[in-house]
Amino acid sequence: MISKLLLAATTATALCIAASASAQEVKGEVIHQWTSAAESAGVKVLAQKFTELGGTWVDNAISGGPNARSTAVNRVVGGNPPAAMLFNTGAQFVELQTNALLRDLTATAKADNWQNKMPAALLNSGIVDGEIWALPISGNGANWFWFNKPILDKIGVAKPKTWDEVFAALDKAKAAGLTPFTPSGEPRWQRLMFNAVVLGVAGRDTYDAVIYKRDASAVRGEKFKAAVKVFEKLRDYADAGTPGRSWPDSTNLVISGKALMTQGGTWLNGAFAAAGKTAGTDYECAIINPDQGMVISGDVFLFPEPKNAAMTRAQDLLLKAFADVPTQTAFAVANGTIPILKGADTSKLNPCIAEASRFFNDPKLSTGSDQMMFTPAIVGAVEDAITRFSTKGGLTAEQFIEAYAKGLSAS
Amino acid sequence: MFVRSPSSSRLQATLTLVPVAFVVLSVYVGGVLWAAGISFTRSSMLPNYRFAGLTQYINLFANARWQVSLGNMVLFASIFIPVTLLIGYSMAAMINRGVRGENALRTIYLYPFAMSFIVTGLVWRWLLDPNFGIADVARKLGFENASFDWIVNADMAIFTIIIAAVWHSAGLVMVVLLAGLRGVDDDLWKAIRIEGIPAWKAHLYIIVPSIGTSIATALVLMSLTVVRLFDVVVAMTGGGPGIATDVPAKFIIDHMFERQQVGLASAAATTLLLLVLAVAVPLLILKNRRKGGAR
Repeated sequence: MISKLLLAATTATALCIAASASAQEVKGEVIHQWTSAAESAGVKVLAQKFTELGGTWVDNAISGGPNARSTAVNRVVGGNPPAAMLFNTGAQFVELQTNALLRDLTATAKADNWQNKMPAALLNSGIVDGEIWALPISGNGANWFWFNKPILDKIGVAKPKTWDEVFAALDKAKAAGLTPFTPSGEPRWQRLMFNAVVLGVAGRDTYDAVIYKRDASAVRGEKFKAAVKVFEKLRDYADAGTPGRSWPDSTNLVISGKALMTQGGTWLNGAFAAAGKTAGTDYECAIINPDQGMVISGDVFLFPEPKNAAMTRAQDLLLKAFADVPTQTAFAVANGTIPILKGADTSKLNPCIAEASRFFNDPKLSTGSDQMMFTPAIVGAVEDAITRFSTKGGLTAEQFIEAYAKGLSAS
Repeated sequence: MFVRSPSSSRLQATLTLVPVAFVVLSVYVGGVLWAAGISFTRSSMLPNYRFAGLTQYINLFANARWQVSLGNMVLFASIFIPVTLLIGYSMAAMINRGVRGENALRTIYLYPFAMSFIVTGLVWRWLLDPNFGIADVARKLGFENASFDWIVNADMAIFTIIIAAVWHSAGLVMVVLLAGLRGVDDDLWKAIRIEGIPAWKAHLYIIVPSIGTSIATALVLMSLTVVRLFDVVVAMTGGGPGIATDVPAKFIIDHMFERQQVGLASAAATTLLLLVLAVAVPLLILKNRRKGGAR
């Protein structure tokens, strides 16, 4: 606490000195939660471009997405907004927009041709009443499964492409005395895995009906039920240490050869890469039943309604820096995420990210995540249902389907 | 001569207290009343004043997570408080007999309390981990079938939280009760010895009633631990497996911030406050009456 106060005091002093030093300076304060090594490398790329354009980057990194977002919201409501703030792609921003606290980006988007630069699914999630309110900055694919390659070779199985092949591989690993499956046991990653199974088993139509239209009858339908059964079966292969385990710990069990498979988004690739592993020889990544496509998630920058002309100017420069194709690509490479702008040079990408990028840029092969379409209240309600179903001795399949369907109307 | 009259020093005291009273009334009481007001609105991410009647309360009590949270708090309190009190009292009684190395023992007993609940939670999480913790040590010692999986077992996980919390709080309760025991008149002990009353009877019927104030203090401190139970759960189980170890404070924080349901979270907070008052007010009255009686 004291160190925080000190930090705040020094920052404030520094700001005053800086302000008196140069009245011409264009300061842009950015609140974000990118604090891991790869993420800060990405932030540096963005900050550098902003500086080149003549701005002064004021970094305000707050560890933990919910913490960063509540700080940003408090600042906006309190009348002292940052120039830009990072949110997850999706409905999180809508209430700020309805209270007229955000800057309308439609004109900038038209001038900078965002429509042709960005995948429709990402851009659309930032549109309310035909106006654009959010700038997509990073993209991820969420429904990937990750395999330890030496174990696949040992049990004599090729990279699985269908659910039957997945279960065959898990059975063989089990028979060989190995741990077959180590998913993360945190509720939000259980939710992520459930969505992966819904898209891969029930198919795109059912997935879109549930996620985009909140269609409770689709949830009660046969296809969704089939997905619930596959999820239940997967759950029974998960090891005893699953409940509460974080995704890095879970991934590490696959990296170190203690387990065959885990599940998670493209950010897991960064963990494999950081451990010095090579895609194709040390590990494999796969979307099961890939014809149904990839679940896209990501982050957006929001720009609060500016308080004065200097802030408008800073936001203009930030928007220019963030939507610049080479900068965006360099950011994505450093950050380990998918370059979201069309025309990005994908030659430097690792095979898993390159494959994800292909899905990402094909509207037929990409669809939005639940977080993009649901309000946080609904995300929370279905997450509670999923985590209760993921626990042995928790909800039955029928109870779970009812809880999920009811969760779709939470507010 | 410069002697303050009693009335001027009272005035000074009153003046000193005015800012504090102002802060307490406006920030604490004001905040509580405001939150209670918000619980009757449709507030989601930002507070608003669209009246919703009892909708938030109806939703709250229909919410499975809230039901589990409340049940867990009651279960936690009904085991944590008596067990901690018993262990704390036993340790205090032992030290009070004048064992050698009292200071060292007192430090050791109080040590867990010096740790934050987050650290306590992490330590116990790894100790109780079914693959790497105590179970693994037992297996390596030759008990090959040893397994202890309470922390990942939905029916038993709440008890692992209780174990960690008792370990954390027993030392503090010991110190509070030891202070009480030290205040017991030596003549009382002499009388007990002369009468030849067995030790357990003496403690139960004579000593415990005579340190009622200390016990009430310990009870208030433990009740606070029960109500704000949050960090140890987050560090140990994250509320899981499933929602098995969820507690009201975690429910409120999750819904207030991450889920943007300020109205629902305020309803939960208000309900929790009413429950706390229902327990704390009689305790405080009891404590004050004891104090008054002793005078």
